[in-house]
Amino acid sequence: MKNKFRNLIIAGTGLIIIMSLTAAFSVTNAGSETKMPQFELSSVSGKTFNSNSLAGSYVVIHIATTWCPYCRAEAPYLEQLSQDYQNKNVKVLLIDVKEARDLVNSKLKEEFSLTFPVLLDEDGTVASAFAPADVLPEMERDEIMLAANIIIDPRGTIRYMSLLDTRNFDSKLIHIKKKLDEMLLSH
Amino acid sequence: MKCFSRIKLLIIVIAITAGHRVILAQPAFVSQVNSASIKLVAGTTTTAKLNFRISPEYHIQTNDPADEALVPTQLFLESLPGIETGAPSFECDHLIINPDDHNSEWFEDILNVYFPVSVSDELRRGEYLIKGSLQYQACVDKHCLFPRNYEFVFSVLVM
Repeated sequence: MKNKFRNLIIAGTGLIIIMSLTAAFSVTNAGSETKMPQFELSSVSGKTFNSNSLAGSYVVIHIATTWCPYCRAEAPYLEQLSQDYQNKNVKVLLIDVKEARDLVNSKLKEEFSLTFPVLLDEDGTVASAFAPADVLPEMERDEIMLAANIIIDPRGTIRYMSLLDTRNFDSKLIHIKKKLDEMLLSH
Repeated sequence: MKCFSRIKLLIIVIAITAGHRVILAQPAFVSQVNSASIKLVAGTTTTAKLNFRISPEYHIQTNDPADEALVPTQLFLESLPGIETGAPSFECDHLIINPDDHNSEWFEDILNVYFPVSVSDELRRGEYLIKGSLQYQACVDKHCLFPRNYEFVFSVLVM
């Protein structure tokens, strides 16, 4: 009896530790809709950015690193998209994964003259939170999200996600703009 | 009986936590084809060759990518007293990828790295082990990987 109780305590403690480590950034599933994970990140300019401030807008999120060649190919077109859609209730964000502020500032924000927020996901937890569980489960979750593009609707639902596909690479973001246009038309 | 109930509890914990994020060991996408070693006489110089295999379907940045923000493939070797290594040169099949109008050049398949090794004439005979690492940043069609280091040991046999 004493042993059973001890085993129960050990198992319960293990369970609580594992759940607390993994649940913080889980994507919320509401029926077939996937809600955007809530996050708070620092921008390269040092400001705190909370995802709650995105409510009510369409949001395009690009997940990147300074060394990712496909992210760099997209960067100028992302800036163009940001400017073309700024009066259409569309916000653009770039989330950099696991890199130092100065590097991200010089190699992304300044080099491509990005005017939208560039955020620092220092440990990759936010990028991981966006990762679909069934895609490349053997890989690190933040790693499969590099060069991904995501569209969030004004209710915070993930409406579109594209992961890297170098054989059909769309650096000019033609497909994303088409999706955005469809969403804006039907809204 | 005691063991059985512990196993049951373990199974319950695993079942409940399945589906949560699991932290995985970082896999490597470059490996060494054969053990690296050279033999040379004290006071002489020779060229060493290392062979690395890049995993099928993967490609890694060249040692001299066009964009300085990209992570070049680089060889690092520790220095040992009496043994001097020079700048490496890289030989590999090149893969050209042209995503829209952005050309990018990569290494794929087998990567050969050559570098000069000089041994001081005062160095005693024997085997000296030099630790090294190959820094690389790999991509495959569907994803890019964080830069990694492949670590190896290089043997210099002084005769």
